[in-house]
Amino acid sequence: MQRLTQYGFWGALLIFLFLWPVFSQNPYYFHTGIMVGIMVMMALGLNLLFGYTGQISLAHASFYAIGAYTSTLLEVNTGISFWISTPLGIVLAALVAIIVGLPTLRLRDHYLALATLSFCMVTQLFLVNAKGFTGGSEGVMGIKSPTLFGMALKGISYYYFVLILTLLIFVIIRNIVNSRVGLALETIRENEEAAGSLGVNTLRYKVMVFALAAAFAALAGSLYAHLALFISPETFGVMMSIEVLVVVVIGGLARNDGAVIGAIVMTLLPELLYGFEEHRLLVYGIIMLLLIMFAPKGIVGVISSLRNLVRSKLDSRLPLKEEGNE
Amino acid sequence: MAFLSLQGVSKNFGGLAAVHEVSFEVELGYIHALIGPNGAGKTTIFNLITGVFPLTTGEIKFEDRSIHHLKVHQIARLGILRTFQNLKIFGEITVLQNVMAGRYIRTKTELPGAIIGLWGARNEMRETKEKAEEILQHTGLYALRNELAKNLPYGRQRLLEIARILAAEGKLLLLDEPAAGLNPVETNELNKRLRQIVESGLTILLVEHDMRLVMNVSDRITVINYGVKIAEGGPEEIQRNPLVVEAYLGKEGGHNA
Repeated sequence: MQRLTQYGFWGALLIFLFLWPVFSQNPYYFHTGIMVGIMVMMALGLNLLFGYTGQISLAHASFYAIGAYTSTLLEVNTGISFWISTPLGIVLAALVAIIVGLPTLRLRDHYLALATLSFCMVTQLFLVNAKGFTGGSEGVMGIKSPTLFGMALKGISYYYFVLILTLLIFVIIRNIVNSRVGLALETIRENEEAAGSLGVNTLRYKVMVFALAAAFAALAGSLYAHLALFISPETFGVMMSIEVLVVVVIGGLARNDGAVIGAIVMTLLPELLYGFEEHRLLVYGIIMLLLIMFAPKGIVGVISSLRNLVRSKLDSRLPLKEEGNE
Repeated sequence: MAFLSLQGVSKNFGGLAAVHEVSFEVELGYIHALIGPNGAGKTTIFNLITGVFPLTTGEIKFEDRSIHHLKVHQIARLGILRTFQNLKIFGEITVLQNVMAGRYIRTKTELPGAIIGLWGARNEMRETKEKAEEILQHTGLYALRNELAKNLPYGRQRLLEIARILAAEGKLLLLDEPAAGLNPVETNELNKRLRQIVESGLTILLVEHDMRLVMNVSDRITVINYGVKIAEGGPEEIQRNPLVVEAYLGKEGGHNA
């Protein structure tokens, strides 16, 4: 029964996501929908790294930046197409992640957080200061929408494109999580020494997941750049990394459905926070604190608890209920 | 050829010689106990065998090949598995998942295969689950299989750690104080279980303080004190050995067999 309602919910959501454009062509909705998709991609990757493997990373914005800048700089300076520049950006992000990850992922907890934080700040400094290369604070302008079969991907077509990519990533993550690899990742989170003693090469897996998350972030970055058609270093700072982390935590760690819900909530939050933009950090801090105190399993945890509560109330009214099946 | 052999093994931590020139051999199919007062260096020896620390001097060989330069996960892959003195179960996942995790070295799906979600990957997980359930039945933990491991009572958690390494179908099991915190009934069950494990073809090296269990279940005993081997032999010899008695009574009164 529980399964059915879950499938029902997600099925309905899927249908909604594909069909709502039939009823409205508001470009603002497309824009928001694409941003949600981009955030979901990043959150799913970070959730695999943090929620499942237990490695905290504040470097996500860096890989987001690598994807955005690599693809657009290549296009603007050499004229190659989105379909080549974006994969290149993804590969570059993965390579950088491996190089940075190999030494860094030997650290744990606070030290890892600090190291990834530094990397994030250094990346942004590079974007600002390497003016000849990255355009400095002025950023990259004149980005063109990607074209597919002669048609420009913007608005509704871009929305469907991003939607399909997001679903693809969701399926990939879900396959990983349900496999032997996914279980090995969770053992690394739970107890790294014990995981190693069972034959798991913990460093290799940590670097691998770090690179995979970086790849997804880079894809998201390129998709963002080709939505906004202009990028500048401001977007790619620590705040971005923190936002993705908040999404993951709000949704519920190690729950991919949580990452999706978290992304939706976080993207819509600025609407509710109208007037509070400067205090974003404060609001995030308060949200995180409240979550940790009252809902450590995130939104998904709250829903689970509510469901259990409802079920136990219903059960107590059925005195002739048989023993649950084992 | 000895199954596992330590030759002249020493480990210094800074100026402290935790283990000094220890040599002994574990025979295939034996239950071999490593005993000695607290702080004698027994867990350090375990850590040396499993590659947690590098040796300062000496050699460790398993099935006649040197293993002391290998990494922790590589040694596990050879079929040498261990439990921990201070329990290291995976608390936030289920009992079933803990045992499935133990099966890691017997399976092979890697990231590419997992991503594509090939049939092989799913079959492997299904087999892993079945094998894990078998072991849970065997160890009496089946009813608890969907509980989070952290919610189990201590005695069951200890049993879970053993069930977890059984899933690996290894060759040599290093058990670090498996009876710690167990009541007499549980200890009796452990005794039987250890015998069963060895009867199914495995070899056990055991660190333990419960002397009754040790004397009852061991085929051979090596005694360590202050990082040095002071005696070796069968249970009867060891019990009569004055050096051993002194080491225990001199330190903490020990448990008498």
